[in-house]
Amino acid sequence: MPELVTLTRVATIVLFAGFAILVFTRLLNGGISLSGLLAGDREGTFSAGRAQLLFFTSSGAIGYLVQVLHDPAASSLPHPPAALVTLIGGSQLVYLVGKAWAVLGDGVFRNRRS
Amino acid sequence: MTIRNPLVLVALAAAIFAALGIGIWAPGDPMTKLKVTTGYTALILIFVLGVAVLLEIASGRMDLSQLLSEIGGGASMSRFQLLIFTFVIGLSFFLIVAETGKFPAVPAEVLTLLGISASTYAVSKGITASARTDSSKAPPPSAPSAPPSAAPKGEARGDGSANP
Repeated sequence: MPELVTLTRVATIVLFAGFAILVFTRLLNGGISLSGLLAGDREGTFSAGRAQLLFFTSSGAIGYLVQVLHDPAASSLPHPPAALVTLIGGSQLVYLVGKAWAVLGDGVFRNRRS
Repeated sequence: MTIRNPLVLVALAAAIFAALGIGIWAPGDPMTKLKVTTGYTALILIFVLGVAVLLEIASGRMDLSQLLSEIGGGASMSRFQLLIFTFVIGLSFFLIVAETGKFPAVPAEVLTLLGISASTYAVSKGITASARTDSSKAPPPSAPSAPPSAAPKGEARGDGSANP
């Protein structure tokens, strides 16, 4: 049985690392396109809503990983602070409201005018 | 059904041989043999199938180029943040399992975070899809307006209602 546990651990590391390496390599060399990630819904504009979502998501994710690496022998996944959950939820809400306004707002006004 | 990847056949053959080998030659009582055989068979199958998927991605036959793309073009922020959260929680889970050898408890806050992330993706997809539906229903600006009686029966109108 100990050999099976060791083999399972190695197999999981190989599969998980392989998938992560493939995805991140494609992200870096442009195989998975990130162009327009921060672009607004109108051509040539910059979206502040997307930028703040990227900032809070990246910060939250890095902070959580640091928490895990600080104590990897814990019996449970670390509890993210309630403030972080609220912050990320609020950030996503701002992004969605902005997107809905930009995408659907014109249609609503057009229907009201006609 | 055809199996295109020979690795799948290799996985099946290896799993069968491992099961037979352990079942016949491994020491211990039948229950222990059954546990060990099941473990090795599942491990071989999952690992070789996972490697087959990785090879398909690496060779480009399984296309990931549209993984983060919006329907209308450009990268999707909602897809990107879902990818980040999935990787971070998955990696954290794996690190703890590898370190302790036990299944860790998952706090409600982590599930809430994943739920928020996935809901954002779903709502964003809904907004994009509804915008596309609206634009496909709207008449082209240069087309002359047809009289109401000329519209075919049952076809959707520009205002979203259907003809009786």
